[in-house]
Amino acid sequence: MKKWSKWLGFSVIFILVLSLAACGGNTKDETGSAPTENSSPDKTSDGGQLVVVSWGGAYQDAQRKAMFEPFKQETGVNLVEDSPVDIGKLKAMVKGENVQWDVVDVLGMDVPKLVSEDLLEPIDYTIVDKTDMLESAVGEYNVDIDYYSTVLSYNNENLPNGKAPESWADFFDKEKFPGTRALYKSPITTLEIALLADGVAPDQLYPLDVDRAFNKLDSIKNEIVWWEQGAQPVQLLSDKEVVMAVAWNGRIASAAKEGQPLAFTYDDGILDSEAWVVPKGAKNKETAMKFIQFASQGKPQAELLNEIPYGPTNKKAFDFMEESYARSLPTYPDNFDKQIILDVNWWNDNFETINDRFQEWLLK
Amino acid sequence: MKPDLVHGVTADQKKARIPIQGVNLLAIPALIFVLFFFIYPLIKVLFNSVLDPSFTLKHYVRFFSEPAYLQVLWITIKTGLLVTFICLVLGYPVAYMLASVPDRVRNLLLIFVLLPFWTSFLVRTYAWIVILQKEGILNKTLLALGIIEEPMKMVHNTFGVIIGLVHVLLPFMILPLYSVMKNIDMDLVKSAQSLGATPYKSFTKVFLPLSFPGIAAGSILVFIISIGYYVTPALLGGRKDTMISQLIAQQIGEQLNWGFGSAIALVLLVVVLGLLYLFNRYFGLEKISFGP
Repeated sequence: MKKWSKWLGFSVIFILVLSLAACGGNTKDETGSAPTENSSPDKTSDGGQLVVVSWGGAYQDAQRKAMFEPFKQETGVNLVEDSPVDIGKLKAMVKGENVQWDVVDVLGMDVPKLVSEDLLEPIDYTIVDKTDMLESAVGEYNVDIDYYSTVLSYNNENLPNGKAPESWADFFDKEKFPGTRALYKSPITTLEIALLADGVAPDQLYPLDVDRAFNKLDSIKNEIVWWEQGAQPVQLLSDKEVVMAVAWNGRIASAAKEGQPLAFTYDDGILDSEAWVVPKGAKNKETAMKFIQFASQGKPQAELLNEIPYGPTNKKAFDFMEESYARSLPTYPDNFDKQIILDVNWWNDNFETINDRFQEWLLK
Repeated sequence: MKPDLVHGVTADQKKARIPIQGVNLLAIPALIFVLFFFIYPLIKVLFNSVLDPSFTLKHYVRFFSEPAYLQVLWITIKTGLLVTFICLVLGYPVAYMLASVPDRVRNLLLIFVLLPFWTSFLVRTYAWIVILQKEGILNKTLLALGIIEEPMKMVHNTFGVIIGLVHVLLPFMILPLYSVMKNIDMDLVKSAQSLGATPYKSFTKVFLPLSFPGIAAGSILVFIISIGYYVTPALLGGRKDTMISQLIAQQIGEQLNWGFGSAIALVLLVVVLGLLYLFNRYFGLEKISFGP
């Protein structure tokens, strides 16, 4: 009898241990909202099926208005939405040969990873027209949707000397800007920022001088608050918890639009993209290509980015925007030239060893 | 027949329960469920960690040769133990009070315990940031009262993580404790006192040992859940508060390195089972009880 209850105890605990992984949440929640599903077929015509996956929240709401609904109207395809994006789940689907997704909105830095794991279908450029697209935005396995920039941001009401920081060198200047600063808890972009602050020329950045970057980071190590989700730097700045923050431009711009006294500079901002990809073995591959073609045109891009301040990848998109607004976006030529494009391939080759070192450095 | 104090039932009563002999047919659906949803994935995880694509131990070598990972493992266990201890110290008197007040008051108090339990832990975690940060309510109040001169650093460090986790996990300690204490026969405490024991003695010699199944259940529950959390430490912690499940999530969900992620998960599993083995050796897992 005693033995049985002991085993029972063991099994209960065993199961608890196994469910450890369930005790978290979604760490990569771009826009921070609950999953949405829109499965009501609008048209009865036999236009096919398509499952599109995005990040949820305001971003997906804007995509629905600008791309999903017009595509449904035009083609009669029964477009079903899912969210949030999870490349771990994408891998599980492909490996398990049960691919439920047709088109997925992933981060540009994740594309090389997905390609090297052989998880994507090549883009069919007989269907997708790349004439008006930025050259950097069309790849063998991806068509970029928009560019976001990792920028230096601050709260106008919380400037130590009444002076705004202007460069990454200022970000590392403890004398001019005393107090804590917020950085993205990842070596990606963090090392670039440290090197730019240390005087490395933007076009000489890659391959990164990792030792030099860590040395530079050492100088402000105890003044850093690390964030992991895009909403955090906005909140840290608004609450005056930090004097400056590395943040994604769209987040700061949206907060500023809502009346927060936040600002940022594009100088030496680091650009990365969001991209459409098609998982290997997607059930509606051809419709997926047609959707990508539709969504990559100037007009739908402009309609999406009129609400979310990221930069279009189709040069024609600016024609559908108010000029003053277009000028504020990261891919507007004046801004584009001031920034650096993240070398996602270099990171794909080097992330593992550098991340080990980064984790170690954090704990020291 | 001598009553078995630990289980609160006599051997005769035990015999009267449904006998577990041979195969108990009623358990089969549950067994199949566990096989499919726990045992099978666990075996997959084991294979993932050593097959990449042919047999290799490189993921384990990486884990044990990088000091950072061992340090994160140690931080995780240390945080789990500390959170468990604080939950026990805070939760024990609360559970005792719940068990000893009249029914009407108890229901009200139980709502106070359960209400935060029903609120999203993400919301509660963010609320702690609002309270604890430099310009937060607590610092502003203390500054205004002249108790402190400089704002205290209470968040984005270990202190913040501990507060956040204790708050989230306290009900997991209070409820098992309460359910065990509720069934302790208070006449035993009274008789100890009538035989001359001081209140302190009657507590330590009678009530405390009888409440041990609740302490064990609550502590194991809180410990196991706390070492699996990763959102609370990510939001409230500083650079030295990475927990191991953050590493697992990063490897599985962001890096697509399932081999390494699986290896970390298995190391965590083995460590937890090892700790439970020690617990069993010194205290006895059969003492765990979530209720009468």
